[in-house]
Amino acid sequence: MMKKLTENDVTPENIFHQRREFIKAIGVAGSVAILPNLAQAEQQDATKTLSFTKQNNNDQSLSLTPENKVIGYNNFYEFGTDKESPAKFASALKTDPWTIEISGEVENPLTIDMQDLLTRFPLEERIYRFRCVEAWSMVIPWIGFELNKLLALVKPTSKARFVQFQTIYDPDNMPGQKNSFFGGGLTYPYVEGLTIAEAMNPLTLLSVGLYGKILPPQNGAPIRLVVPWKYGFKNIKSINKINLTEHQPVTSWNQAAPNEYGFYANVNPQVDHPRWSQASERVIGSGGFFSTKRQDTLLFNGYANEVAHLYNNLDLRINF
Amino acid sequence: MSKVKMLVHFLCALPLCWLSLVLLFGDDSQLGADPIKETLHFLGFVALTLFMIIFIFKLCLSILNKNRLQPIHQTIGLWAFTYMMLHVISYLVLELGGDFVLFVNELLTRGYLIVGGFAFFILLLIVLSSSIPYIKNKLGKKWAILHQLYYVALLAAAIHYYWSLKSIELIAVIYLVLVVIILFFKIIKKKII
Repeated sequence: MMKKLTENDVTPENIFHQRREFIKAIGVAGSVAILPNLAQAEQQDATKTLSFTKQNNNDQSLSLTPENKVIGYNNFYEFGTDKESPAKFASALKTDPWTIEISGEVENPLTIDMQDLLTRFPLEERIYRFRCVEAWSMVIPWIGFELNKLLALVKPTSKARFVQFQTIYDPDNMPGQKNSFFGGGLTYPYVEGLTIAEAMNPLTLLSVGLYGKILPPQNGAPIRLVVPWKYGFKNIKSINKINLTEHQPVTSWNQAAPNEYGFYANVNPQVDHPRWSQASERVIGSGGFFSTKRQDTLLFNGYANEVAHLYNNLDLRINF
Repeated sequence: MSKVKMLVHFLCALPLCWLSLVLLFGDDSQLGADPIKETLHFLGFVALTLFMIIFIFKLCLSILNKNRLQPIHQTIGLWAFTYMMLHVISYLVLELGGDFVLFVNELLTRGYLIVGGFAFFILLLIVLSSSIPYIKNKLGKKWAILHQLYYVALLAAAIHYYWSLKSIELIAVIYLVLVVIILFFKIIKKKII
């Protein structure tokens, strides 16, 4: 009998297993949604786990925000403006099947399946500071791969100066997209953008997981952007379209309030939000009411060494 | 103390009791991941709600001609003022870590804080002038004029709430609309209130 090629023959073993696990995880997540009483508990935690390379040069001074706060305190206006709303309502998000369409100024436009994507890029853990424009911060162990790896696959043309990202538009399952009050009055679908240099920076991540597990829907499943030196709203969730453009793309918060939210949105303690100071931030850590700390905000959220060169010729007060 | 008054005290104290119980004995999760922000907003929200209740209550009494119940709003007013004080103190102590210079600086530079501070200042004057008989006598007719500024303070407080939010929220819009309606009644039917 002729030997048939299996996926195992063409895919490195560790990635193959990783992929199986991801498919399994999505499968279990799906069945949990349908049969909440049957599938849950023991299986759930084990199968949501991803294989990834642990970050070895962890900054020891960073202490992680507890997982329950990372997945219980979210801004994802498609599921309501309260911080607790996304955790309540985002399970309606359908993340399987999921494809990402990459188009625009690229040599190889591509529509890639989520599972396919995971077989191509090994996952790694990155522990990053996360700073919200509302002046609170977290430390989050993301799992993902560098965006530049995906961009290398589609080969940006010489005209590609910006990268625009779009969140899935699914008003039937995303109440905020349907009802303007529920969604905080933003225009949907949510869009964000980076310059090509920002997108190619090794810090810029496409994340598929956190705390060792696949992303919970409220954190932007199945795939979201993580740009640690920018305010949180740049980290667009549940991406299904990426478009490379010659001109600066429209971005959602900038469109909603251009005097308050710039295109760049780099974390900068010297440039205040018109309504509040950005000089310091409240740390959402393990402490409760009586032990909450406030700390000084760092320029580029502490990543100045890695990214400050991107803005050498830019007045950060004007290009906030 | 009348029974009605006792009931009013009891109802007004409930939110504060709830908050104290949660803070002292509850677990963290009850106030979410950012309990300080939640506390701050909760106190401000209760204060504004009580101020609104006073005016709606006052309006109803005038329409129903039951003006002998008027003293009730003094009771509610004192509670509202208490919540407002706690709101401001928690902003200074919890949000800004007791940095008084920063507090004054923020209060004078941020639009929504200028408006909120303005409401606070008027209400402080009203409470002081009502509670201290000497000032009340001294002010004479001006005392009544000062009290008319209530409405301006209420409008300022509602704008402060709306403005402080990152995006449009339904309750803030409802409050603002309610205040405008109250002001409309106040201006059109001056005699009623």
